[in-house]
Amino acid sequence: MVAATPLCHTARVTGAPAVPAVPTVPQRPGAGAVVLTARDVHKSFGKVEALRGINASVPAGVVGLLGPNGAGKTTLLRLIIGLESADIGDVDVLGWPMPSAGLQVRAEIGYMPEDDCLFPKLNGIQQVIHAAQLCGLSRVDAFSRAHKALDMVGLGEARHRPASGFSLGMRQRLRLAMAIAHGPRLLLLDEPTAGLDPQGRDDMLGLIAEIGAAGTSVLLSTHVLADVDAVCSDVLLLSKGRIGFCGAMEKFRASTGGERWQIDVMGDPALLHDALKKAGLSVWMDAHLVGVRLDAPDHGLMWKIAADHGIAVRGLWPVEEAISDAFMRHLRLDDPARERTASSSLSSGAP
Amino acid sequence: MNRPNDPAERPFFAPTQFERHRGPRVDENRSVAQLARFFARRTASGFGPIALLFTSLLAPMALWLYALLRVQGSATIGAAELGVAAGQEAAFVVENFGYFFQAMTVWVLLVHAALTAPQIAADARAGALLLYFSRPVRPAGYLVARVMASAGVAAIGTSLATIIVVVGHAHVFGWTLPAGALEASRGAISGAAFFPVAFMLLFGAGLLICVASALAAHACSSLVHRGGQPALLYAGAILASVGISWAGQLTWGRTSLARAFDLHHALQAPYFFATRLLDPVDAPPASMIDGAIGLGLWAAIVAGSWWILHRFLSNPPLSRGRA
Repeated sequence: MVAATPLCHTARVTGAPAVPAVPTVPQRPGAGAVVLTARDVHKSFGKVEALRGINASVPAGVVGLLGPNGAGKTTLLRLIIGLESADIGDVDVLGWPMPSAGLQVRAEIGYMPEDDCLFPKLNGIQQVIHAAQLCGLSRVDAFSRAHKALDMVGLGEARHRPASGFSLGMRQRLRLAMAIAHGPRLLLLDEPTAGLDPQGRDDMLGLIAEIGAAGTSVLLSTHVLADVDAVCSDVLLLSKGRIGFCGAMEKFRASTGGERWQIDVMGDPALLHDALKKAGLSVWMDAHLVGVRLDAPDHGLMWKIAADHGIAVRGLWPVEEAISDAFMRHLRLDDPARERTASSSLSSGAP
Repeated sequence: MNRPNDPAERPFFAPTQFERHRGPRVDENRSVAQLARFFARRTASGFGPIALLFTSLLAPMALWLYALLRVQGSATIGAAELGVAAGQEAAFVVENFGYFFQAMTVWVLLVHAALTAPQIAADARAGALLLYFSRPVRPAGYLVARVMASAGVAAIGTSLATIIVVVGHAHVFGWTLPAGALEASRGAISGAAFFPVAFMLLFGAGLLICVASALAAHACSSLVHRGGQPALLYAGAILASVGISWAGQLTWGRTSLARAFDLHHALQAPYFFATRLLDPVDAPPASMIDGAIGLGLWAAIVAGSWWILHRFLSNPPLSRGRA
């Protein structure tokens, strides 16, 4: 689907193309602007502390909200929407204090919940019109924007079918259309790719990237790290109700991780593995390769150890850290107990 | 997974037509009104089978009336032809209106049991409450819209029926009742104002029962969420009260207290009081006591329903299936 007319109001004013011909990773519109500020936010449910002193400034752009189950992601989303209020601390969303400015904020945000919830007994177009009207659009505006939103998510042909007959992928796309129909400034997506097939997942990520490129900030809460990797420019990591990391994706990968190298040896790689381990380095086996993490950029050390043990090295190269490794590393940094457990259970895997 | 550094390897995102909405937004009051209209349309869409049922019941009556008019000639239909003694017209009309109001309360209770009671439960089951409250909708706004819609749809029916009944009676007895008829009942209003006042009383009391019973039906809907449970709870409460009342009347006789526990009967209390304007003589003290207790009972039910709904919407079930 290619846009025939200028798409974004800002783009019309500036004369720039509304959407890049090949939008790849999302731009960061209004980079530097802050869409969410949390200051020492605590929230408890009975004896369970869901959030424990959250301090964060989330920039505009497509931001991944990561964290294991029970980390406080849903609680944070509900604080942003105003469905819950913080016990202690302040939350500002789009510059408004929550929950006192809940109505203004909710008019400016779109929320796609994780649950498979739709308005009962409505067809596709009625669902989206109703959602847009709830956000304060007049019937005429809601009608026209609902049709555009359904076209955008690829449900144009199914708009008059009862939503109860939609497949899971169609329901996900319908809920996205309901979340964006009123043109929000901030879009909150809770597990948008859950249950989708690979093609559906790619389509959903493409839509998210495009929405981000068009100037809407997106907070993408997900367990699928590859989704964050594909579309997010920033990461907010929650762990046990605390902020584990908040910043750019590049920093997320690089921070405190040291350098990771892979070494290909002639002969038995276990010999080099043991020698490096004895030297106090963090090492692991990756098939026939030896992986090693260096806290300081000193790869000459590895050559020296190999030479001392008479091991011939065929090749040696740096490795970019996978986001899943970065995720696990940040969790372990946040929790020493988890560090010990992970070290013992992942003795043959990457640290 | 390593991030592909070559842009050609990154996922291709086909551009579509997303744009921000920068147009005007309606204010909160209009938003609630929009919501109420939406709910009313949804309520009315379930009205078909019930309307069909009532039409099928009313059709033979309408045919009978038509036949009566054709046989006797509409010009000759009047108090004498109906066997109403001279001077008793006002009392006859007031009594007729009383029966009509009783029938109307049954109709309103049935409409709310069938159409109103399932509504909030359906939203809770589908997780739609999350969709409402994650948008600029206050719980109070949602509740007001729900009650306005349910009561409004029922009130359209009661109002149309009231118009037909009042105009029909006025046509038969004349728009201005004879002075003798009013003197006999020592009514507080003039002959010319009799039917307009009667219409206002029926209309107002009808609106009141529509709102009160809609609140009660929604409260039942917030308490139980499975399939037909809310309707059963609502209808069951009404029928149980009628049963208790009848049992009380059989045991202790036709006492005010025994009668007042009948919720259907109690719902007519506003009209009992109001008819004193039309015919103070025909409202014996016992009926007034019934009415007073009935009013108190329904006031308590309305207050209790509001409290139940307020509690429910303060912490609504926001997950599908959590209901």
